[in-house]
Amino acid sequence: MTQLQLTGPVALGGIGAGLIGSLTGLGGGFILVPLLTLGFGFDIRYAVGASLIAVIATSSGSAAAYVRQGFPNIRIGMLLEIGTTIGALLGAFLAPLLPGSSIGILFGLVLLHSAYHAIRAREDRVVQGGSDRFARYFQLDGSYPAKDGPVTYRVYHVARGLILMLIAGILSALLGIGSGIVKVLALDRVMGLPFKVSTTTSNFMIGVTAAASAGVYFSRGYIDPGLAMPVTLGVLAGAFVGGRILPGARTPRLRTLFASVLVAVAGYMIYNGATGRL
Amino acid sequence: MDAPRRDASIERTLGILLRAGVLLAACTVLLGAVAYLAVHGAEPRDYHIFKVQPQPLRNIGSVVREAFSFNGAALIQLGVLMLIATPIARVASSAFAFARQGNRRFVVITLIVLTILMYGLFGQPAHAANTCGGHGDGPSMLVDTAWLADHLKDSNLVMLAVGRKQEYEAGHIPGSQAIGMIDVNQGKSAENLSLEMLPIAELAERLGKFGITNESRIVLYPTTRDWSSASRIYLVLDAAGLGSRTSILQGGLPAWKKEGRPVSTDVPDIKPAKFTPCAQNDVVVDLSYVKANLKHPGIDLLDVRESTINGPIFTGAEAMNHEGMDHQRSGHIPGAKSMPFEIFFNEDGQLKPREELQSYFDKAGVKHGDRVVSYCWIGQRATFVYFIARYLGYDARLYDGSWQEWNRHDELPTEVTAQKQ
Repeated sequence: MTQLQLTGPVALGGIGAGLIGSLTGLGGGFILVPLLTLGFGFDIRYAVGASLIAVIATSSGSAAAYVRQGFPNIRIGMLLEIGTTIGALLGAFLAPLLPGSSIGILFGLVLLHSAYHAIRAREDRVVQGGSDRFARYFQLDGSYPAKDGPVTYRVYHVARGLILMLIAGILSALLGIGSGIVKVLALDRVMGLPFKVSTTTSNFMIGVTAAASAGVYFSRGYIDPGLAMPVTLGVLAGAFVGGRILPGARTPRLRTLFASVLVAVAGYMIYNGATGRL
Repeated sequence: MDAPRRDASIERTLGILLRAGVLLAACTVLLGAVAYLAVHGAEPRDYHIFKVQPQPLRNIGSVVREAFSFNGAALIQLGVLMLIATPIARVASSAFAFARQGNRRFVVITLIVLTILMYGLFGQPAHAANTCGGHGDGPSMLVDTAWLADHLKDSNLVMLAVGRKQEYEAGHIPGSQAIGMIDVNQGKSAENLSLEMLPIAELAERLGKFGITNESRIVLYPTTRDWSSASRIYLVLDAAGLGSRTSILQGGLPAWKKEGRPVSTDVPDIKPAKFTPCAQNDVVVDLSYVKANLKHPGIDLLDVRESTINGPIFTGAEAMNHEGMDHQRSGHIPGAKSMPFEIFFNEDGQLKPREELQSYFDKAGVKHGDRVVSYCWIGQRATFVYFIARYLGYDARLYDGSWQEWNRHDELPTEVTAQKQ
C-alpha cells in the first residue's frame, strides 16, 4: 500500500475513534490501538505512539467544549495529575522492556476489567463515606449544571484515587490509551463523582497524562509522521463532533455505548493476543 | 458557592488556550500533510515493521529548522509537538491563574505537575543515544542531485566523494572531500581477512578527521558508476551510529556531471571534529551467528556474488578462483539464495526503482519482517544488499567474514544450487 492509499482509511478510523472516545470520555486510544494493530496490522509500537498523540488531540479538542460548560473539576484533576504523570513516565521507561504480545494481552485484560465494572454500574450512584481530609484541605467538593439547577457533590477517598491514578498513568504510557477507563472508574466509583463530572474531569487529565509519555516517545523516535498525520487529523475531527453531542446525550445511553464497545474490543484483543497474532 | 465553581475564570482561560493550541497544531499537521503527500504520497508504506524515526524527526531543534524549509514530515512532527505542548501550556497557565486567586496550595501542586511534564519532554538521559544511533528510514537513504544542489550550503553537510584519488582530482562536487575504503576500514584484519571493520574508537577518530560530528548530515557519492565502495562506507557509518544521518547520491558523480551541475578541483579546508560514536550491534554478524542461523525461518541468507557465464545466478557449482581466497572450495553457504550484485543498477549507475528492487527480494522469498543477512567474497558488494534491504525497510546484517572466512573452514557445510530461478 502506498502512503496515499493508507491515509484515507487510517483517517476514517481516526474519526470513528475520536467520536467514540470523546463521547465516552476515554480518549479514543482503546479503539485506535486495536484498529491499527489488528485492523491494519501495524507494529504495536507505532500504534501506541500514534494513539498517544491522538489521545492528546481528543482530550484537548473536546475538553475545550466541556470546559466552557463547567463540568470538570479542575482541582481534582490537577491534584490527581501528580499521580498520572509520574505513572506515565514510569510506563514510558518500562515500555521498551516488554515484548509486543504481552502488551497486547495486558491491553485486553485492562479492557475486560473495565467492561466488567461498566456493566455492573446501572446509574449514577452516590458513594457514601466520611468527609475526606484531603478533600476538605484542598476544597475539592463541587457542583455541575443540570436541568433543575446545579447539582452539588462531595469527594471521597482522595488518597486511594491518587494510587489508582499512578496505575492509570503507567497503563496509559504502556498501552497508548488515555486510561480514561481507569480514571473514570476511580473518579466515579471510588471518589464518588457524578458520571458526567468523572468523564469530563478524566478527559481534562487524559491529555496531560499522555503529554508526559508522548514527550518521551517523541524524543525516542516512536512517532511516525506518515501515521501520526491521518490519525491526528481524523481523531480531531471525530472529537470535535463528539464534544458537540455530549450535552444532549443522556447518562444511561453513554453507559451502554461505553460498555458494549469495551466488551467487543476486549474480546477481540484477548483472542488475538492469546493466539499470538499481535 | 463551593470553591471549584469559583475557578470559572481559570476554566475560560483554559478553554481558549486549548482550542487555540489544538487549532494551530491541526493546521500545522494539515499543512505538513499536503507537503508530505505531494512528495511521498506514492511511496509504499509498511508499518508492520517498526523502525525508530531518524534523528532529524525526533529532535525538537531540527524539527523546527526543517519545518521552516517546508519539509512535510517535519511540519507534521512540529504539529505533533504543538499538540504535546498544549496540555503542558494548560498546566502552566493554571499555575498563573491559581496564583492570581492567591491559592498557594494549588500553585504548588500545579508546579509539581509541570516539572514532571518538562522532565518527560526534555529530561531524556543518554545524550549520545539521542544524537546518534538507529538506522536510515528508506526514502532518506537515497538523495537526488536536485536535493543535494539545494542543500550544498547547509552548514552541517559533509560530502564524501567515494572512489579513486584521480577521479576526485579531475573534478568533484564543490565542497566535497575524497574518501577511500581504506580510510575507514581495515585492509587486512589480524585473522588475515580482507576489508574488515575498524575498532570503534579508531573509526570514530578517523571519521572526526573528515569533519564529521554527531550533528553532521552526510552524503556519499560514488565518483564512477560503481557503488560498492560507497555502500560499504555507508555500512561503516551505520555501524558507528550515523546511518540515519547518511545518504548516497542517486547516480553519483556521473549523474551530477551529466546534468551540467558545477564541479570543482578545489580541495576544501576541513577542520578535524569530535565525533562520539554509538556502536550499533545490529549491522555486522560473525561466523558463529551465520552458523547458528542456517536455514532459520525469518532469516534470509543472500549470496551477492556475481552471476556466472552459465546463467543468471551464482550457483556455487563452478570452482571459482577468486582473488584473496586462500581455499578454493566451490559452493555457497547452505540455504543462501543467489542475488548477484549486477542486477541492482541501471547502466548509467542509477540504483533501480524501488518496486524493481522489491521484486528481487520477493522473488528470493524474502518476506516482510524478515532479517536479511548478506555476504559475498570479502564483504564489499554484499553491502549493496545491506543498503537496499534497509532502504526497502528490512532488518539487515552483513556477514563481514563472507565466503573468504566460511571457505577456510573445511568442517563447515556448503551447498550447490541448480542453475534455474
